[in-house]
Amino acid sequence: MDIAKILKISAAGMKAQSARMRVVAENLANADAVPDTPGADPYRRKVVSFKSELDRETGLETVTVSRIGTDRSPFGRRYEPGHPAADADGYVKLPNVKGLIEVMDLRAAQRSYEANLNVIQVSRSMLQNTLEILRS
Amino acid sequence: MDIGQIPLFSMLAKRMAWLGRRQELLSQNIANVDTPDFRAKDLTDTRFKALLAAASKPTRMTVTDPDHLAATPAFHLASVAGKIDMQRLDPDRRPVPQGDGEADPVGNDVVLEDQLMKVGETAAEYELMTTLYRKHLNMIRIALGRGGG
Repeated sequence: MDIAKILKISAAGMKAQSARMRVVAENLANADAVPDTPGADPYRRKVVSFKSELDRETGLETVTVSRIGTDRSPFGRRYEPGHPAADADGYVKLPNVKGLIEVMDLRAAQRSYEANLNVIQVSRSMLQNTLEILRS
Repeated sequence: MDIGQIPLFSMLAKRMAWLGRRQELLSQNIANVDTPDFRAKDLTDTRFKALLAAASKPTRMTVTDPDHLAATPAFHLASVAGKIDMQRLDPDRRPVPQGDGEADPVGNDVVLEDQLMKVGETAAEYELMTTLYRKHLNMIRIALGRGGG
C-alpha cells in the first residue's frame, strides 16, 4: 500500500531533521566551550549532511544522515590575558560557532520537519477518505 | 456482479492508485528537501478527463416512431465506438525528473512550496475520486432497491 510507505518516508525525513536539530543544539550548548590549557583547540562546530538512501525492502528512497562532519573555518580570538588558556600574546581561542547561523539552521530544520509532518497528515486524510467508502 | 468490470469503477480505482503513487513520490521529494544532489521526481499525468468522457458514455434513447424526438448523443461521445481499451487506462507509474526550477548550490532542485501544493492537489483529487466512487456505489444500491442516500 502506497500510503503506508509514505508514512515511512516522512518518518525518515523527520528523523533526519531531528538529528540536524540535535547537532544545532550541541553547537549552541558548546558555543562558549573554550580550552583550559594554552595551545589546545576549543569546540569545533559540527555540520550535518544528508543523503538519500534506497530502502531495499520497500524500494523507497528515504533520507538519512550521511555523516556529521566538522566546520573547518578558523576559530575566533578574544584578548583575555588572565585566562588559563591564554597564549603568549594574551589571546584565548573561541569556538567557531555563530549563534545567528545556528538559529537559522534550526529554523530551516523546523520548517522541513513541519513539511514532513504535513505530508503525513494529508496522507492520513486520504486513507481516511478511502475507508469512508466502506461506511456509506 | 463484479464491480471491477464496470469501467468507471476500475478507472477510479486506477486513478486512486496513481494518486497514491504520486503522493509517495512527493513525500520522497519532501523528505529529501535538504539532501545534496537530489532531484525532484513526479509522475506524468494520465489523460484522465478524456478517458472519463470515453468511459461514461450515456445510452441513446430508442426511437420507435419517426415523429418521436430523436435523442442525439453528444458530439464528443459519438466517436467513441465499442469497448474501451482498458490497457490505455493503465497510468504510467514510472517517476520522471521534474526539470522545473533551478538547482541550489548543492545540486538539489526540490522547491518545498511547489511540492506542498502538489500534495494538497493530490489529496483533493483523491477525495474527489473516493466521493465519486461512493456516489456511484449508492446509485447501484438504489437500483438494487435498498434505498441509499
